[in-house]
Amino acid sequence: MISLLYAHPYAHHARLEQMMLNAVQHWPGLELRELYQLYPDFYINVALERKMLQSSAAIVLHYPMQCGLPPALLVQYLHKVFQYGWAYGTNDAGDAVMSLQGKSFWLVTHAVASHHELDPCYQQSMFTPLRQLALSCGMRWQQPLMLPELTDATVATQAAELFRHGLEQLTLTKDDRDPHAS
Amino acid sequence: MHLNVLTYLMIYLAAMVLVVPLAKRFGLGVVLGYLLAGIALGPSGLAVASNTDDIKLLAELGVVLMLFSIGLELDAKKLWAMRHRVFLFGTLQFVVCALGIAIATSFLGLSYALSVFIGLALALSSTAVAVQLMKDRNLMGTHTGQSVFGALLLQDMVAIPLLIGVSLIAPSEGTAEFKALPALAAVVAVILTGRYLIGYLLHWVAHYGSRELFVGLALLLVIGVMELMTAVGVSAGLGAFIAGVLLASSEFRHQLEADLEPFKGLFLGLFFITIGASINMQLLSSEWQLISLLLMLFVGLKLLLLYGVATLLKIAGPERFSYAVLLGQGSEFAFVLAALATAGALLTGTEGATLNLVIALSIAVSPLLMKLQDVWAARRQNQVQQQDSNVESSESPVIIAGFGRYGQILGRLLLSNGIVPTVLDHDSDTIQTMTKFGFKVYYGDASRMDVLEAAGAAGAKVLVVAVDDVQAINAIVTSAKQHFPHLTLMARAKDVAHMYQLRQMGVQHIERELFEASLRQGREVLSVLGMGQYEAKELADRFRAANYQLLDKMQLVREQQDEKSYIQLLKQSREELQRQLERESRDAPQLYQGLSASMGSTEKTKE
Repeated sequence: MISLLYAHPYAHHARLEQMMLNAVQHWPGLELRELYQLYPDFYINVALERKMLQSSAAIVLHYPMQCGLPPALLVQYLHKVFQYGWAYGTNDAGDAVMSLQGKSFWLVTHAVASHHELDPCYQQSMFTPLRQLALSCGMRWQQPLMLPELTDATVATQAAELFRHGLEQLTLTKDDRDPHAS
Repeated sequence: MHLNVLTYLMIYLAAMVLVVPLAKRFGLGVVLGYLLAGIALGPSGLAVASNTDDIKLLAELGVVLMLFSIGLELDAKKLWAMRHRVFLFGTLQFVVCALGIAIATSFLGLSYALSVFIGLALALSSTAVAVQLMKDRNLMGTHTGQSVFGALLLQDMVAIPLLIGVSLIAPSEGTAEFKALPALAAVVAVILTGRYLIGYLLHWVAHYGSRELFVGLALLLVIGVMELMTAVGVSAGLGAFIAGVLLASSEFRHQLEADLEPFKGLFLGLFFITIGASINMQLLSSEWQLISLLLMLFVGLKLLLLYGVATLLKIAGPERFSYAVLLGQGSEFAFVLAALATAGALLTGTEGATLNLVIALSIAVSPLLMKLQDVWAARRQNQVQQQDSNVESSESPVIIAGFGRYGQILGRLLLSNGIVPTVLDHDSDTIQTMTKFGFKVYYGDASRMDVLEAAGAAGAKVLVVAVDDVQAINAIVTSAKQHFPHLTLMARAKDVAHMYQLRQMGVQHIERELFEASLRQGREVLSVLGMGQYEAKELADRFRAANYQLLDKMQLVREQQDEKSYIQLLKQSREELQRQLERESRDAPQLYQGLSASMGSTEKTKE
């Protein structure tokens, strides 16, 4: 299973993005969870989310980026679910824990309300905290996908193509892993 | 043997009850059923329908009630929007039909004057038949339906000068005389009282009277208008229509509609029965060749003319035939005209009877033709299915039942976001205050299917039951669930037990009326005691989640109806949840405490 966590506060207005997601969400084994639909009050069902993540082979975060930051609910989600003592760090008994170890971690994002192309270097630096989190959790960091600004249906179709290509890569890396592990 | 009105009424009702369901069972429709019942009662059937002036009066009341309730659905604004359909399209329809029929009759060798008279009389269509057929098929809101209705309205107005004309050309005794000044005065009186007086009267009766009294007042209103209009020689239907339009913007609109509905249906049934009874089977059997020829000529010609008019009105191709069929019959008004003309020796007795028979038969043919059109349309359905779906729905998507403290807040949230809900309440004081704030609040008991229907439940998406009485809530939910299963139901629950009850009734969204408010206040207590606002919110959220979890668990046990284990589990779960809550509530802040503690220690080591 692949968990696709989608965080957009006004998803219903982002029609082109919906179009793209529709083209993607039937990917075999993909489980789409719209965080703003599930937790509009910012109260996250931590136990349930942890169970879902643990049964996934890959975790994909899809979100629009504003001022280089993910939406507030996604940050809330990461703080609540990816907690010290469960996702990384040590538990009460002092043993190291990495509940999500070995899972692929992939970011798919695009900038909103940006009037100019972002400097690629700066782009990568924006992913640094999330990359650090992935590393602490022992997850496999995948090169993030920076989608183009969705201006019309053609771009949305192209974006969906890119997205699917990335999912394909995820599945491949997952299969690759087994011979190395054994 | 002399039969009194009640006996007649009994016979008519019995015929209705026996024949109409049969006709419906065989797919003939209600109107045709009534007509058949009428034929069975008429002089050629059981011959019990002779000397039925009193019944005819009641039947006329049916038509008047129908026009009143149509008026209720059209406020002045909507009527103004229809002005082109009434005056332009309506006149076009009338002139084309009258001219066409007059020319055709003159070819039959009748005198010019008579041809013109017949043309004018037969250009009229039956409002009762057309509206009933449209209501059966939900056509009133469509372009075609509106055009048909516009034409009918104009015909109602044209009928008045026609009547005067006939009584001038062929004077006879005993006709209701049209007096211009009193007629004008009567219409003005109806408008003034409807606009200023009736509203207060309705309020007053709703406040101090009982339910039956309200029904009584509604009937009084319509019968009063009918009597007044008949006295001055104006079409009673037109008067009632005006009264209806004036009350259309009143908050009592839905209740009036619902209260008059059963009377309207019954009396309209009587009306169709009297038409059926007036079909002279003897004349028909002796002159059937001539009559069927005339009928075919008349209906064929009228359909053809109307089809042409529909094309001119730019009605879409497949709808043109509907337009033609809906207007393609003789009018009940033509009976009156024919009777006048016969009395004034414009027509001979046989001519009058033949004309009557042709009109009555054309009325009987209409539902059959409409049935044919249905079959034809069903075949084409596959192609035009999508066009139909968004024709109406001018009604609000949300109905709120009960507009007390609970419903008001909900309604205001909707209103402030551009959604105007249809609100029903049975407290006339609330209505009066709320109307001042710009709400459209209607007086009515939402547990009644007809009130819900009048409020537009068929086209709505959501019904919010915000009444404060458990019995009333359950009654509304039951009724809505039964008659409008497509509605998303939201209900206010008194307590947990009531919530379970509502869940079992299939309500999708339930809120305990005081739960959120108490939780919110509890949260404030926590923060006043020194806890951070956000932490208090999180604790309240956690409590809510745990509470819902517990409720789900309890419901399962409750359904198994084992009281002992129910209480046991209740205790157990409470303790378990308590522990869970305590554990979780320590987690989050501790995480940060841990951090600051370690930061504090590093500072200390620096020192």
